[in-house]
Amino acid sequence: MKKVLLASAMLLAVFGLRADAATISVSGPSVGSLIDVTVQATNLFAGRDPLTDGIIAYGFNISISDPTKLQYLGATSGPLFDAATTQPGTDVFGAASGFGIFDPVVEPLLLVTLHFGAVGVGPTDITLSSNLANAFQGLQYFNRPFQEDISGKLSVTAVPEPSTFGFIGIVLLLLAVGREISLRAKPRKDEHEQPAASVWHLR
Amino acid sequence: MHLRNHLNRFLVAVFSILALTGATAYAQLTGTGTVAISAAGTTSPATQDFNTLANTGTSSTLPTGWYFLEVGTSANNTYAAGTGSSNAGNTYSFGAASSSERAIGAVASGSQVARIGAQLVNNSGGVLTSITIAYTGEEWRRGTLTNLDDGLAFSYSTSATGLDDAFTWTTVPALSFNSPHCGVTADVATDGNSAACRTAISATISGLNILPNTTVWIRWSDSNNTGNDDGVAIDDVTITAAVAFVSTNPTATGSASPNPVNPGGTTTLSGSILQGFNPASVSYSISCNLTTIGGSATQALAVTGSTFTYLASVSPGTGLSAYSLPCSVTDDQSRTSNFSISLTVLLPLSATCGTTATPINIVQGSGATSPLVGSTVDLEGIVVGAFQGATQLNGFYLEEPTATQDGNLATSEGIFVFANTPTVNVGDRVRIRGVVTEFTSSTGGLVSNLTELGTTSNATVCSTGNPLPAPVTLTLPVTNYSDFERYEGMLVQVNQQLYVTGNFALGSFDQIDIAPSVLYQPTQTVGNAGTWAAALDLINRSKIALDDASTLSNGTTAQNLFPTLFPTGGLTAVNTLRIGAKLPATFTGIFDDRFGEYRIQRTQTLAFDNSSNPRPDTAAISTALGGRFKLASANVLNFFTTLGSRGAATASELTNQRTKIIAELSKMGADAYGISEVQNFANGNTNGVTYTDAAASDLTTNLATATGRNYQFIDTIIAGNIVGGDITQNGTDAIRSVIIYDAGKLAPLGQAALYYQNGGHRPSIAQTFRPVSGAKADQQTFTFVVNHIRSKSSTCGPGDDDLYQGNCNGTRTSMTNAIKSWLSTNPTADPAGANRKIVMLGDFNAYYGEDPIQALVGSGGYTDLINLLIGANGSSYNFGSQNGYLDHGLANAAALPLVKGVVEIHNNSDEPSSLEALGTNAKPAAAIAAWFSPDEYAASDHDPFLIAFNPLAGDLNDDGVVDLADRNIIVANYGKPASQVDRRMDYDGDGTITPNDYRIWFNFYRAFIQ
Repeated sequence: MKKVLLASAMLLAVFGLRADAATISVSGPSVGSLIDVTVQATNLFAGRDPLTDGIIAYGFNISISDPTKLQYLGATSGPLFDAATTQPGTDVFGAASGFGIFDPVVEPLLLVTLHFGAVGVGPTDITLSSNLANAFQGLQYFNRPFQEDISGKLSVTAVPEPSTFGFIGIVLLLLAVGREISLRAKPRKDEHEQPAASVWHLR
Repeated sequence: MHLRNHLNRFLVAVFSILALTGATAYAQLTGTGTVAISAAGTTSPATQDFNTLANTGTSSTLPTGWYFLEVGTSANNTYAAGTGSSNAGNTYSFGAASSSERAIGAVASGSQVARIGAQLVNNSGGVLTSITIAYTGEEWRRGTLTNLDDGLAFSYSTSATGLDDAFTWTTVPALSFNSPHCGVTADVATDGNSAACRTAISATISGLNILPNTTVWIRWSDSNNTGNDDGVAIDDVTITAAVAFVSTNPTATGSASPNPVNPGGTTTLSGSILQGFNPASVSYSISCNLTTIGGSATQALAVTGSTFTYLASVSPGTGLSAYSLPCSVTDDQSRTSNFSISLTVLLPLSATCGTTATPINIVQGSGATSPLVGSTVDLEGIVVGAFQGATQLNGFYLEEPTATQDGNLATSEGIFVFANTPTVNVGDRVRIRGVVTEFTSSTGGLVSNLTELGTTSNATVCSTGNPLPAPVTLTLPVTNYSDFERYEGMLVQVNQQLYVTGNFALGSFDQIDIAPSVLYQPTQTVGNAGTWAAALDLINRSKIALDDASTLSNGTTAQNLFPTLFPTGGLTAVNTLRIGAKLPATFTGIFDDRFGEYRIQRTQTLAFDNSSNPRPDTAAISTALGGRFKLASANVLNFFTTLGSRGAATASELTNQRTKIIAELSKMGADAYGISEVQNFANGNTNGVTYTDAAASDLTTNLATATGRNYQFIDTIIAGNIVGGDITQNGTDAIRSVIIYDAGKLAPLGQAALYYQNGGHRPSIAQTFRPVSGAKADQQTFTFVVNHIRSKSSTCGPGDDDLYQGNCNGTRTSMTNAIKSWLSTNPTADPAGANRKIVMLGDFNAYYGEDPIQALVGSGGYTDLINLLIGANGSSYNFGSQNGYLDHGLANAAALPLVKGVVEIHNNSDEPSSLEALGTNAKPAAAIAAWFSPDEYAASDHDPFLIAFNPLAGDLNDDGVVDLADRNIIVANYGKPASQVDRRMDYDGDGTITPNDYRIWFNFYRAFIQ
């Protein structure tokens, strides 16, 4: 059973290297014990020749500002990519299935869904970054420029499962019971109500 | 007197002849007398027309002052009168039958070669500064027509006392006679007096400084050449000289008697004095420094006329040693020369056990040879190795008892005693008298001097069962090569891991070479004379032999070694001892110095371990290599179907040789083979006139039968098969290279091209192929080139030979440069044109760092695949107990990315050569059977190698198409080092498989599907 005490969701920033580059969007819940963040791309062939170019991979690094609150659990590549892996110097990498992803393609193109799990209570930032000097990072194309930047920061509030944090969970449960008693006559927000999705547009 | 006032004035002078003695069992010297300058100012030259030589039968009579020396098993002290009609090796008085017009000469053979010369003495009273010699060289017999090197090589020596090669000789090419080859028919007499058969020769030897009353020897040497030799002679010799009347010092020589002398004894020092000249000495004084024997530093010796004498006392405390007492002679003109008198100080002889004996460490000394050579001494020590009897070493090793060892690490405490009596055993305390000797033995140009006690007598086994002196620890490499000497004759213990680095002599002498690791040729690495010299020095300090302490051997003259002691159980085809095998971690033996190499004579059973370099599974290696096409290089060590020539001598040898070669080639499973050393001429000879494809066909047919594959060979003796149609481009050597290919996999495109670079060099052969199957095969051509470059075996002369890179390094470099230029012309008309892919392989007879290979790599446009993919430990050949690869695979820039891999198969070079099928005449019958098995091991002396190659770029699974399966291979290997995966997918060459490699691959895919 999930226990959600706080919730916030925010689109924090937009980044981009080129005016005619693809647009990367990152979305996900602002609070939870299990937080799935989706990374999508639009304007895939902006400034490119769709007849000769195509996407061959994505890759970037993930950092969590407060690892005592949240941990990265893994990733699920979008349906047009091979299973997500890691590569040297890269936290998540996915190769485009088949020979590559070519125009036309339905946008936004889901690159990957990142999975996080709460390990503590409180706010933390999830930062995506790509070092284009690393051959496995960025949104990768056949033609030059071979790599485009994937980066951004998402603020979430982590709330762990009680079973995960027994002592804290017990304390929180007691607090919740106390609040339930004190607010019994008042309407309250459903525990499973999700906040609105947040979307970053990264140039 | 007038001349003495013009000291540097040169005069022509005449020589006279001195006496000479001495002969050996195989070197007979004949001649007497001397030639002297008759008097200062004489202008008549010494001449000799040899017309006093016998004109019938045999004789030993020569003109005064002239000599001849015969060397070889047929040597005697006579020459034969002849017309040139005889092919027998001998010294000859050449001339027409019964004619008194004679010349002296020789016909060389394998059983006899001759040296002809004269001893000249300077009696002019001045210093000879130059000698002019004029003579006529004459050819009295034509030998084999291909023998182009015959003649008489001239040299002179100011230190010789005869004509033997052992003296120091200076060659004078301008005075050498090269046979004019006036005869057009082989093996018949020629008229040496005819103009066509005579060559007038004259030259001056300058820069001499031959003092009055000293001698100089001149000689002409005849060498045995391949095939039958010419009959060559000298006639009408004229010798003149220039003399400078300069002042010369008196000289003196002296000796001691008795010598040796005991400490506390006396000895007479005496000698004679040679006069100084210009002006002549009248009186002399002699002074010697006798401090080493307890005397004065300026002891005057009494002089009477031209002799001197002095009774010297040797102080009782004088150390046992051989001394060289420095002395000087001074004449009335205050001219001085130094000389020395040798004196040995030894203990008095005693055969009684327990009395003081000469310490072995004194006999050994700290130098390379004993200071007491020639001295008779009594030794008493403990037997640490007993190898008496004709089948062993005919002696034993005696070591100084621990109590009387000197503690000096630089002096050995052991010595070999050359004595089969009395019978001794390890642990015996033996006292024995003998003469200190340096036993000289050699292998090739390497010479050993083993200090030993010979001519023994008064031997007593004083006691038995004594504890042995503690063995001294031997650690390799030694700091300095000379350090080996300090262990000579001693019981040593090795406490480090050693490996077999050479096994060439295992089956012939039961001897292997060992070192802390397998050694590699210095020139395997790119370097220079300095780095190669340092590497060679380390090798020499690291390597010793391990010997069986036996005289049993296998060769063409004796076949009595079987079984061998190494490895345990004896060498057999299935109980091998490979290069890289490990020795026990610790073992003991006797340190010895014989046949040009320091060695350990084994005293215990030694268990070897081949697991550190086991026999390769050839088929498995080939399978693991994979690839669309396998290109093989294999030197098959003279595969001749004509028996008794350069290859197999018997039908049995041929059968066994074929069996092994086919086992090797079939298990390699290649699609194209570049085979070296296949019979070229029908008669098996060099320049045998009629080419044959019998051996090439034999190999191909048997390979096809063994594998069930459709192997064919490029038959280059069919004019229609080769560009230009000139089959003489197959060359004149007895061997050539052959391309064998699987016609089910590869199709030749157009004609093969041969490139013959004259001389005895094997031609290169090139053939363009395309795949038989697969899409767009016509666009996947590649040119396959097989080379076999000039060997290092025989000299090509100064400037061409290289001290480190071997004989004919210049010739090889020239050849590879020429091959590079030839291939740049697209000799096979490969339709890929400028983009053609070239894979070149074969036996280049050069290691990677040597000039011939460096001419091809780098800016030469080719990449050495062995160097690139195997590296410094690549090896296809073991020579001098050092590994290295003479066999190379090279790819041009277009072919390099298409090479999946390369692998050497060490089925041959790591094996003892005795396991090869050939050479059964040098093996006992039991060994012939035990050392052969029908497998690929020891199929040749070179290792083969395989190159995995696919001319279709992007076809990573080698199925003949570029498709998604190839893409999946790249993606599956993302992030991996290129060294751990199929190297081809690292298209950008950054060492890691990345999306960028996929981008490049995708271009190959697009090109393929378009």
